[in-house]
Amino acid sequence: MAFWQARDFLFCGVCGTLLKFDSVRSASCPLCGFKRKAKDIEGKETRYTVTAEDIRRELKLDPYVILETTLKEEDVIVERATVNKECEKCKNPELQYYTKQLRSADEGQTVFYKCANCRHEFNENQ
Amino acid sequence: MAAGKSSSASKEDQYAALRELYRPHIDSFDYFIDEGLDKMLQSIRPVEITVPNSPTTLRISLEKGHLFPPKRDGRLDAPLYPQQCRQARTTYHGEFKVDTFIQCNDGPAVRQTFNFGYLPIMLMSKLCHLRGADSEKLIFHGEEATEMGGYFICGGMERLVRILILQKRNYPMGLIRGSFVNRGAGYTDKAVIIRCVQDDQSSVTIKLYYLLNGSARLGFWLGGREFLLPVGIVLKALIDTSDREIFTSLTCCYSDHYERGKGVVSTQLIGERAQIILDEVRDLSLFTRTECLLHLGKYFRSVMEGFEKDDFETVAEAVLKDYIFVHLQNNHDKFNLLIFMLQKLYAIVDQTASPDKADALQYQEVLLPGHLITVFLKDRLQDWLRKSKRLIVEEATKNKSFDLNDSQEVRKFLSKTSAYVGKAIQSMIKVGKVNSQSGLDLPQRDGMTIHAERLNFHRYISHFRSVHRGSSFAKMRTTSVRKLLPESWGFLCPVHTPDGEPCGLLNHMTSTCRISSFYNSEGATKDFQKIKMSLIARLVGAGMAQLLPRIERTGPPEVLHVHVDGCIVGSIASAKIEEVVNHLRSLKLLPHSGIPEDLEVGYVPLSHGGAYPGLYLFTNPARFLRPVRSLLGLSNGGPNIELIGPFEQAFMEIRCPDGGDGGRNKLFPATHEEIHPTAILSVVANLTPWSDHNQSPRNMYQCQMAKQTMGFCGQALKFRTDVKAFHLQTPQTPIVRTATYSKYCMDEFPSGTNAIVAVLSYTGYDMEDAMILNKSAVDRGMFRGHIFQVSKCFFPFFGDS
Repeated sequence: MAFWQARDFLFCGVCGTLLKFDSVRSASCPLCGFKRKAKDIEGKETRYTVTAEDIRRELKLDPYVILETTLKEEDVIVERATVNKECEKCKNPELQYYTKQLRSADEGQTVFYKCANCRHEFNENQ
Repeated sequence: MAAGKSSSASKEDQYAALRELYRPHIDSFDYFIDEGLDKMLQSIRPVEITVPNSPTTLRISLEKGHLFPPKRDGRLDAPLYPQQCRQARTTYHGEFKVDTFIQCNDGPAVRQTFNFGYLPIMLMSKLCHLRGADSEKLIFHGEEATEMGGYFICGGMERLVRILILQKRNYPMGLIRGSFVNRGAGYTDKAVIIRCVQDDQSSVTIKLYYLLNGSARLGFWLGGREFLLPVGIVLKALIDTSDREIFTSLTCCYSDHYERGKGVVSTQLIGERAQIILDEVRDLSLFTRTECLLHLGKYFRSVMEGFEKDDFETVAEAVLKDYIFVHLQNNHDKFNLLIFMLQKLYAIVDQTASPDKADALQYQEVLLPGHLITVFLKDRLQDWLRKSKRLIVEEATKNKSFDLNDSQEVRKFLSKTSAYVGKAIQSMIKVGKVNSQSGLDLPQRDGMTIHAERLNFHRYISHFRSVHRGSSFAKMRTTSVRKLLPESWGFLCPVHTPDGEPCGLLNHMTSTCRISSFYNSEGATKDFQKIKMSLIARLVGAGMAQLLPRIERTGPPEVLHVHVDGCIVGSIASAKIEEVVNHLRSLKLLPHSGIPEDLEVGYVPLSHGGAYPGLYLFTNPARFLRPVRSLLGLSNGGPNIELIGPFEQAFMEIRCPDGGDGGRNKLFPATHEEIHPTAILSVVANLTPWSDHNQSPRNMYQCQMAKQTMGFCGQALKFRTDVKAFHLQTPQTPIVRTATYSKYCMDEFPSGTNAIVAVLSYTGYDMEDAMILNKSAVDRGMFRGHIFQVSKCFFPFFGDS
C-alpha cells in the first residue's frame, strides 16, 4: 500500500476535503457535511519511524558508534618533513618545515620552520 | 573580374571567425526587430478608460510595431550611415511607430498609428544600412574593413550594451540564504527560487520559502513590494482540485520501501507537512477553487492596476496569469511545477538533496542587448498608457464637454507624451541607467551600457566578449561570487579577468563559447512550440510516461521527472534514463531530426544527497554553449560536434584531447572530448604565446596589458572623431605568435614592436624598473606614437544686423 493510501481516512470520501476531527463520534467534512464514523477510523494509524541515530543527529550529539577509521585525537601526531638546516637558537642540525602560499601568487611561498629540540619557530620568505 | 571576386570571397571568409565573436549582440537585436517587438506589444494588457458623467468606455490596445531604417533629416528616403552620425554627434536611430486599436464600448476598433520618436539601431543589424556589406563598401562609407557592429551610436558616441549574468530561466533553484529569515517570524533560510521568463523576455521571479512549521510561502514582487501567499491557497486556486488530490500529489514521491538509499529525495515527514499546508487553507475556510480565487482577488484588487472595478475572480485569474509561473500557459502545468518545487524544497530541508549554487555558471544565463531593450521598451509603453489614461481622466473631470467618442480629441492626449518613449530608450543606451518603477526583475539599474573604447583592438574585442556578474557584487565583502568555479570550464576564461576590483566579476567568454539565440543554424526563427512537441514525441517514443492523465505518480528513485523549459512533461524510469539521454544526444547531431542542435540535455543522475535528480531540457535562448566532440557520434561515423551547455556539462564525462585519461575511473568512461586544448581561453588569452610555460598570474597580467597598450587604433583613422585616439606609428607584426593571432586577423591592428632585449646581469647597470634604450633605434622611429585629441570649437557669430 502506498504512503498516501495509508492516510486516506483523513479525507472525505465524497469530495476529498480534509476532515475535521471535532467530535468523538465522527469526523466531519466542512464542505459537504459528510461524516465518517469513528468506528471506521478506529485502528488507522499514521506511523513514523525515528531511530535513535536520527535523534542524536538532530540534537547534534556524538554518534553511538565510532567507526574504526576515525582516529582518536590523541593518536594523531603531525609528522612534518625535515630539512638539514641549523636551528638559529639551539644549533640543532635538523628542522621540521612546512610551506604556505600566504602572499600573492606571483611571490614565493613562505616556509615555516620548527625545531623539534627547543620548540623554536620562525619563517622565511624566499 | 573573376580574380577580384575570388579575392573578395576569400576576404569574407577571412573575417568569419571574427564575426562570430559579435554574434550574440547582433542576433538578439535582430530578433527584437523581427518578432520580439510584436510579441512584446501583444503581451501588454489593454487599458480601459472610464470617466464620470459618461457611459462610454475607451479601450486602447497596442497591436503592431514599425521600426524603420535610419534616414537623413530633410532628405527624402536618403539613407543615414553610421559615420555621418559619429561626425555630426547625432544618434544612429530609426523612427518607431505603433499601430493601436481604439475602441469605444462595443463599437468598431479604429486603428491609429502613433509616433513614439526614435529607437537606436544597432550597427550591422537588419535595419542597419551596412548589413551584409563587404569590405569595399565598408571602406567607402568610412568604416573599418573589419567593422562587425554590435553597438549603438548615441550622441556621436559608440555605446554597447553590456552582457549581464542572470539566474537561469525556468529552472527551480534551491538556495540557502541568511536573508530569507528576515521575511518574518517563522521563516527559515531555505527557499526554492525560479525565474520565469515569458515570450517577450520579461520575467517574474517566484520564491518558495520554507517555514519552521513545515509549510511554505510563495513570494513574488508586484508594484515594488513582495507579496507572500500560503502555498495551499495557490495550489487550490490554480486548478479545481481536492485536498486529497493535493496530498496525493505531494506525498506520492515517498515510499517506505527505499528508506534512505541512493536517489531517495523524500522522507516520511512529507505527510505531516502536506497536512499542515492543507490545515492552513481549511483554517481560512477556503474549500473550493472559487473561494480561493475570491480570497486572492479581495486582497489584490487594490494592488493590480486597471482592475479596480473588476470582480474578485477576474482579479485573481489575472494575478495567476501575470505573476505566477508566467512561462507556462496552462494552470495544470503550473500546479505540477508548484508541487515539484515543494518536493524539492522539502528535500533540501531534509538534506536528501543538496542546494544549488547561485554563483556557479551551471545555474546562470545572460541578459542580451535585444532582451534588455525589449523589456525596457515594454515598461516605457506601459508607462505611456498609464500617463495617457491619467491625462484623459483629468481632462474629462475638468472639462464637462469632453467626449470620449471624439477620436481627434483622444488622439491629442495620447500624442502628448508618446515621443518620450523613444527618448527614454536612447537615454538608457547613452547613460546606461534603467529608470523604471518596478526594476524589471533585473539585478541592477546602472551600468547597463559601456563606451566601446577603441584604444586598441584587444580592448575593443573584449568589450563584446565580456560578461559581468553585476555591479552590486563589487561592493560586497564576500568573495564567493568572484571564485573561479569548475562549472565555468570552457565557457568563461580562467585567465582573462581584471586583477583589481572587478576581479572575478568581469569575466570573458572563451573563444569557442556561444550564446543560444532565437535563430537556428540556418538563420530561420525557431518555433519553440513545435520544438517542444517534437521533443515530447521523441521522448514518448523512447519510453517517457506523459503526465496528463494521472494524479498518483511516483518520484525518484523509481522515476525521474522530465522538464522541458521549466514545464514538467512526464517521467522516465530510472533504469531507462541513460538510454533516453544518449538517444537525445544522437538526435542533436542529426540535421533534420526536429531536435535543435543547441538543446541542453541536463541529466542529473540519482545520488546520495546530491543535486535533485531529473532530466532538464532547455531550448530557450540566452544560454551559454560550446562545441565538444562526441565520441558516440564519432564511432557512428556521422557528425560528431555537439553543442553543450553549462548545466549539462556538470554531469558529463569529457576528456582532454592532448593528455592521458587524467586518472579517469573505468566506471565512467569518457563520452566526449575537447576539440582543442586552448578552447578554454578567451580570444585575448589565446594570443599569449607559450602561456603553458608561464606562471598563471603572468598570463592574467598579460591579458590586461594587451588591452592597455598603445596600438594601431584603426585604419579608418582619418574618418574617426574620437575625443582621444592613440596611434602607434610603426607597428610590427610579431615574430612569435599563436594560431589565434591569424585566425582573428589581429595583424590588421598590430599593437607592438619587436625588440631585441639585452639582459645586463651586473648590478651596477640596473635601476629597478628602468630600461635603457638604444638611442639610434629611438632616432629611427622605434616606439613612436601619436595621440590625437579633439577639442570643441566655438565660433561666435559677428554679424551686422
